[in-house]
Amino acid sequence: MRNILVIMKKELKRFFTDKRLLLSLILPGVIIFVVYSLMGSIVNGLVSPDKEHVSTVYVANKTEDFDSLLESAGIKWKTAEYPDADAAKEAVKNKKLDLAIVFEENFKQKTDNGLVPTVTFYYNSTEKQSAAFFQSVSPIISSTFTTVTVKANAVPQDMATKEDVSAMVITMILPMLVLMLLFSGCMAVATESIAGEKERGTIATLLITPVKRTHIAIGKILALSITALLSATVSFIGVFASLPKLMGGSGGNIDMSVYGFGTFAGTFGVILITVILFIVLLSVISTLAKSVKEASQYAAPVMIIVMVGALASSFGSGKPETWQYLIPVYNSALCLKGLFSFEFSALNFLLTVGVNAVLIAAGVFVLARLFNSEKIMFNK
Amino acid sequence: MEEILKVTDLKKTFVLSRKQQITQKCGKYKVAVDGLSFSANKGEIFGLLGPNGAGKTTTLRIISTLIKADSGDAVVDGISVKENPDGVRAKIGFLTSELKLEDFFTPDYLFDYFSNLHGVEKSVAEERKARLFEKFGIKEFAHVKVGDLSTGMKQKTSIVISIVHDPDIIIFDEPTNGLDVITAKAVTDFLKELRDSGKTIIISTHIFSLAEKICDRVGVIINGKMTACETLAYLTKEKPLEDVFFDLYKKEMGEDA
Repeated sequence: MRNILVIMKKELKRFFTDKRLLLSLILPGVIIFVVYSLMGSIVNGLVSPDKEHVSTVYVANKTEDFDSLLESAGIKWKTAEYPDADAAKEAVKNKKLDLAIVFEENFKQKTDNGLVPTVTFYYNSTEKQSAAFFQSVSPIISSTFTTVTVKANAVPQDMATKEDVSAMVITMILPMLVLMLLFSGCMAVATESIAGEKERGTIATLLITPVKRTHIAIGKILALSITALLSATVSFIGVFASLPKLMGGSGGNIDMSVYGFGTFAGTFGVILITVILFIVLLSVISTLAKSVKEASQYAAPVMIIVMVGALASSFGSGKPETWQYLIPVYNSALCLKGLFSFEFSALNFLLTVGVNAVLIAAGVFVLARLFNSEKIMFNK
Repeated sequence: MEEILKVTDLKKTFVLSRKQQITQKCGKYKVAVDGLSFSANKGEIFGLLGPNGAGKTTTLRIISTLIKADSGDAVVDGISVKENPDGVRAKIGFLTSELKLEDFFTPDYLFDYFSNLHGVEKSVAEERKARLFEKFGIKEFAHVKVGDLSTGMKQKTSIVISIVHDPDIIIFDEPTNGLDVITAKAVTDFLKELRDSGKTIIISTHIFSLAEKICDRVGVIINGKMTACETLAYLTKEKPLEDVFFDLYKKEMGEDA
């Protein structure tokens, strides 16, 4: 136990007092923040609605108080006339019209009688004025008439609402980004600490001491995990801080504060176990390699597998089956996705942690065996 | 004479890669150590003498538990390398040019680090560090990163660090290789001093003059076999060590030599 600490302390000292190495761990996060924010501002400038623009709207079966509702909300608009709703829809599609609203017949009467009539919106999701106008009008209608079904139809056929899109983008992008960042952070430190030491012949000096191989493995893994976690945290903060700006263009209303402490604690848990898993995996790879260069070559295909796993979770539709949480990497991505879309399940979380913990233990065992193998440790 | 190291019938065969098979013009297997036996006594300097590739380094690595023998055993101060390698590692200090120190750290830090790993008590380690650093003149560069040290300084640091735990048996692979005469002298003097204080030293070398200068007993290894194992005085009774070696070499290699 004491030796684990001694080794861990030395490894940490190695990483945290080397300015160059430390910079290489922190820099990705900073670069991510700068690049994403910049990208966001540029995209934002392209798609944010023109303030001077006066939107045109077609309303079928207009209620009496429609005009006054919009006026009191301070919205400027022009009413356009079309022969029927279909013609108006076509106009929205062709970007001639910003918004078409179809109230169900006898709308007012139905709401008064406690029925639930439907209001259907048609807007063009590819047109910034149209999307913005829809976003300002639809909440007014839905909040005024509490017993109403609001149907939002983006034309052309893009049935998702804008809020859904941005939420989707977060849950799609985040798990993948986080896993990628974690993996590359782990790769940098693990290859350096193990393949690098092997390459320079310094690990043999450690192996000649009476310290148990398992303790060397655990000490290294712990120190590497802490270091990789720091790198990951910086990257993660970078991503999170830049996300609102990055998404500003398409959603405009991503509010990170909706994610409470629980979400972040859960995220940290998933990240922690995933980092340790990556470190163990990369340590084994680094031990098998003869040099840092070779270790990086071996790690590249593994990185692709991790990417595929993360991507697969992004595109998977519907609720994932429980058994899917038994697949490493993929389960971490699913957990992150679940956390950010508020579909968190304790069972799945525990499954993920459990599966990864078993793999980590197996990895430590393998690593200790490799440290004991002269073929592996002294193959020049 | 108390026997502190006993090596019995040690065998080690390496599987060669295709490339090695071509460059070394031999088959798939290379017998590095072929039924080697010898013993070393407490308080002596024992030298394994032999040409390159004779199996000296392999033998020392097996005794140091870095590699495992195919058969046979080495018992170090009553502990078998086969059964308790961790125990053996605590007894010995092993030094070879292949064991490097991390460039990033200072001799001072590394001494503390390895003292810690060997479980040396802090006050003992401090006293030992002061003494050894003084003796080898490491004090001046104790706080300079190993990467910035010269070859000689690095070698001195390596020596000191290999004996942080004050081992009874010191195994030294080619102790003066790559050192200038002054550093080499400091090293050989230190080895003698260690012997005089009751330690046992096992070295390997292909330099006859070194063996003649410091060894009490010599084992001549040729082709992985021990061809002679006697006291230096006995071996060099009639001829210089070099001539003795060539006689043995001719006998072992037959007409090829």
